[in-house]
Amino acid sequence: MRKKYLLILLLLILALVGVVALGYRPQPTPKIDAFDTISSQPQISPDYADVVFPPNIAPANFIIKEQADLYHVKIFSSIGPKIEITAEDPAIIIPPEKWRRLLDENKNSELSIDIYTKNKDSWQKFNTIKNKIANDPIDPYIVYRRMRPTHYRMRGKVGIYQRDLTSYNEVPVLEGTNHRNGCVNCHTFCNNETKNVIISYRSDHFGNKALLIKDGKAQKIGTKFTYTSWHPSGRLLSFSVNEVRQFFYGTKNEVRDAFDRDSMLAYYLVDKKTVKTSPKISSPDRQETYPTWSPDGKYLYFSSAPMLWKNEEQMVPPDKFDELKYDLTRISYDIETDTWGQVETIIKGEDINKTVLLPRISPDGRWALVCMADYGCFPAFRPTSDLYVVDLIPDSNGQYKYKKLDINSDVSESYHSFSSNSKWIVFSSKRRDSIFTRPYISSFEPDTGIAHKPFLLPQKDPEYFDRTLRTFSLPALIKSPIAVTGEGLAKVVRSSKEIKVNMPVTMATLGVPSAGGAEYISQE
Amino acid sequence: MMKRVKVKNGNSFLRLLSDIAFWAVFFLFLWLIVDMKLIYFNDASILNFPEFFLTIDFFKEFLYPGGLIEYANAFVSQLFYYSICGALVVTVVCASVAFFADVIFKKMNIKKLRLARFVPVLAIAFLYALYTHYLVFMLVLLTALVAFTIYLYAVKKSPAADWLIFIVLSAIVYAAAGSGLLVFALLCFLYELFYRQKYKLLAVYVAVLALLPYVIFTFVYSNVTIVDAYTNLMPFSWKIVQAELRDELLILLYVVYFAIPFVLLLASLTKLLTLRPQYVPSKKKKNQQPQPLKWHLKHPALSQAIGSCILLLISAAVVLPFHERNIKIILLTSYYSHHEMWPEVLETASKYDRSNYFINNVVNRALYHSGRLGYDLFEYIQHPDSFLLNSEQYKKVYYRKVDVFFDLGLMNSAEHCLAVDIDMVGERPFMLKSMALINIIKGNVPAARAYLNALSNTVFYSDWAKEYIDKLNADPTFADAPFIQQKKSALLRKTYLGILKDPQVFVYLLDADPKNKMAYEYLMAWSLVAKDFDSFVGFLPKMSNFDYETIPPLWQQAILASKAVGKKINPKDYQISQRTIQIFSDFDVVMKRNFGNKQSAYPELFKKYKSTYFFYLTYVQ
Repeated sequence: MRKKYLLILLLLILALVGVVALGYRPQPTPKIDAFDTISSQPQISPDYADVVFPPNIAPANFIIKEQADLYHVKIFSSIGPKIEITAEDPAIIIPPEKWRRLLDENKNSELSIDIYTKNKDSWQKFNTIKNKIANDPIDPYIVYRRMRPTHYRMRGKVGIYQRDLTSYNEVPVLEGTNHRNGCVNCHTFCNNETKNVIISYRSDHFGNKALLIKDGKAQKIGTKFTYTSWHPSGRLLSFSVNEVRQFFYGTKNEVRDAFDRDSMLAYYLVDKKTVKTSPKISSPDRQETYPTWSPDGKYLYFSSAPMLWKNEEQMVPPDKFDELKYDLTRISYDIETDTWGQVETIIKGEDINKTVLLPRISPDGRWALVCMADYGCFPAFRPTSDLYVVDLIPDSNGQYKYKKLDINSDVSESYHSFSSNSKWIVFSSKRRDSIFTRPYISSFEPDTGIAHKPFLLPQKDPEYFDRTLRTFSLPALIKSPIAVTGEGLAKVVRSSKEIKVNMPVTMATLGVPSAGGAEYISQE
Repeated sequence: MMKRVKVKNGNSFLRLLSDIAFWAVFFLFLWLIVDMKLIYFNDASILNFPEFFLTIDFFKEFLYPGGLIEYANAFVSQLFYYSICGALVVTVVCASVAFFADVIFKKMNIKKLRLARFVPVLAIAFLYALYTHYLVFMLVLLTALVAFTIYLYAVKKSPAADWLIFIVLSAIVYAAAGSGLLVFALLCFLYELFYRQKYKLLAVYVAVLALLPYVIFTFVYSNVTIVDAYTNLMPFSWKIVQAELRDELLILLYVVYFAIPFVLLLASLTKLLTLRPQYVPSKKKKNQQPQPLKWHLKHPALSQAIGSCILLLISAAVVLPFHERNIKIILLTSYYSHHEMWPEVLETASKYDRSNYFINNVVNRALYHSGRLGYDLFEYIQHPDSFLLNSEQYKKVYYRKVDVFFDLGLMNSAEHCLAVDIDMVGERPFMLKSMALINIIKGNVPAARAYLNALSNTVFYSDWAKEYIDKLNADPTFADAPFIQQKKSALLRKTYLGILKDPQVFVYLLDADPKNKMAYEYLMAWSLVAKDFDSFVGFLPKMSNFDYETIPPLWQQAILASKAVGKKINPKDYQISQRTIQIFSDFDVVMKRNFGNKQSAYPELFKKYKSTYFFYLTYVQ
């Protein structure tokens, strides 16, 4: 009797497996002998047309935005077999192994995509989509912060995540839930490596501090940093101290904006566990922010603007907030003697009627990639913010040339960074919907300073970015994964042990009252 | 023998009847008195009400200990959209808890304390009466009880098999319900300790309880912290404590979890103390005379009926006095206002006899949309700060401001408030719907599409979202949608900074669109309530921009009052009704009759003119 029931159960399971297998059986490759030619490119999303792919990128899955009963896609290059996909669903999921092999065998070649659609009984073929496979790989990991597009960060999900660019694997580095719905913000790497890492966090319960990951070991530093940059030696970390204020527009499309009531630069000597500053980078007449080191460690680049309001003024925003234009400046530094040179202005914001923000120096030392916007210091909230490159080799007149990159949109581009070989840049853009920042990757020519059409970070589910209501900010490229993540960092946050810092720099140095209050300003 | 069987069957039937009666009342309480849709549509006051999306990405967010139950909770919580479904869900879960508790009690022969199966149920009813949402705790408890029931029936005499059963069930309970493991292990522990006296098992069980979360944390769920691995879904978990503004309520969550284990402990100790191990069926002696039946066995129907009545009365006595009627009125007016059910807003608001700015806020909105703002404004308690809730006191109130901002055309202010509260409470569908509409009106089509895409993966707003995606695809400008066009025309055009405050914002809105009737009526109403005659007199001529057939009575009264206080206005320029003139004269007569003494004139004026502007001017500070 029991055997009989067992047999019935087995048959039922087999039937179920059969039904599922039939339902999911792959579409047979159709034989397309004849087709009508449509003399336009098919609409696909994300836009993976005319872009340059790194040879080690994960499959760029996409959706065909053309109505059809059946889709057939051929992806091919000069060497190796074509990848052929046939599906009733317009979502084209590319087999990773085939994609990897195709890209690997065809570096520096064209990557073509032919799309056929079948409506009723006839096939149509669109113009071939042409892309290029670069010769040089991109650093295999990207680290970004993912969160809601907050106005004040209250208790929403936020985290820093590390994504393997050669696949879709993503691991959380540190999430807000790891420290009781705290916030995680700036993450900075030294030379695109993970030997020296700084991650800042804010928490009602565990304080506002920084995590130092050095040689695979995480420690807590008992102070907070805002925007940070590692000296290439890993012995020094420069940072800004900012008194950020946020305000809102009653009318514009971008509701938010922010300004620094005051800011200054300082630096943390890792071995000495000491914070120092110099009047040259913390002038009371100026606001200094967004520090970044040149790859040789001889210059600290930063944005600097004159103080247009008095510290006593409490108005938010102050009267001249929309006149504030930051210069791109630099100062020489000798790490052996800990001495600073003189501040030099590379580009004066006032002269070009733009504010120059967020300098990032290419690892070959040739280019400064910056944001330029109409005013202010917060490019993510300025729709006019575009990416420019500044040639750091001055012309014969000693002038620094700059140019707007052809990768901008009519909304904000910001938070860019270079790959270690200077051949790729990644940046945040709101171009898809003007609210949610998404990471875009662009091929960069270090010889000419030309950046090629950017593409959206590939996802396994090509509709992912159409659906998610999270922003991806501060993307940074790294060569290897971060050694300590998740609970490894969380227990350091929870621990009472921390590096006590000799901190002569406080908000009082800025001469402004502390921020206070429970509402955090989002720093997308 | 036959007679006893009959009694048993009769008891079962009556018990079933009494149980049905209890659950029917429980269900009706949740449906009609608590009104479960208010939990779903709470105005961001219930922080832990879960969001839910029908996507794989969303499901993946729940891959942690207790995540499956939280996911299930997130799904069934969406059914609260309809009060009746919400009540049904909670009733079914609670009835299941009571059922399994009963099975356990029966199996363990703790029949005298069977009523204790209702204790967690009453605790959860109590929590719903206070407008909180802790269904997830009942789901965790249910998981633990189901697992324990399986354990009770599965354990045999072989210790190795028992260990295996315990470990497998523990792993399942932990993976699904997180801290439900503690409840399950506690029940198993008590059972082995007092009922089976398998003391060797106890050490193993304690070890499993201590180590299993660590092992699963290490090898399976490394995306949580070790703290969360041990505490997720415990009443003292930081997630629970942080989301509950009324700390004292958390004690009820301990009742939910530990009432059943406590009953087991109590029963065990009682048995130990009385030294009568009743769980071992006693062998009947031959020729033993049957004991005379006790009263309740002789009259089972009556005893069951009385038992049910007592249980219901106790339940009602425990829960009903604590039902937060005022919170309900606030939530209900907000719900009606959001759904543009204006008569219901006004009717419900009239039941709230104190001053409450949130209620004032929705009442004024309802009065405007009913065309009664110039007529019935002073039928309700008023304060100038209640129009936009912009005073310092309400600086951190966000969602409650959204609908009025939206109506007025203050899309950025509405968007800001929504963004803050979405970050606070999660992506609730009705908030995403507002976000989508705001972006359509602002002409930010891609952003609207992003919100609509997200909304199309929700349970009850999917159709609406798909309809709007189609409309967007057909015409992103919504040229044929008068509602959208009217909102577009109301948008501010000049650059304004900050969160705009009344009354200036009404002026800005009228500058942008002189036909913005709501802005105009709100400005006039604000002027009356704030007793700002200059503003009232200054903007009165703009009435001609609108289609008023007659001057609203309260404005007529304000014209006379303005003249009375020396403002430059000639009442003859306006059509003042005889009724208004009569009220004005009579009001004056009554005051004079009382020699200008406001206090002595009050009873008569209150009786005759309490809803007039004259009365408001005279008596309301």
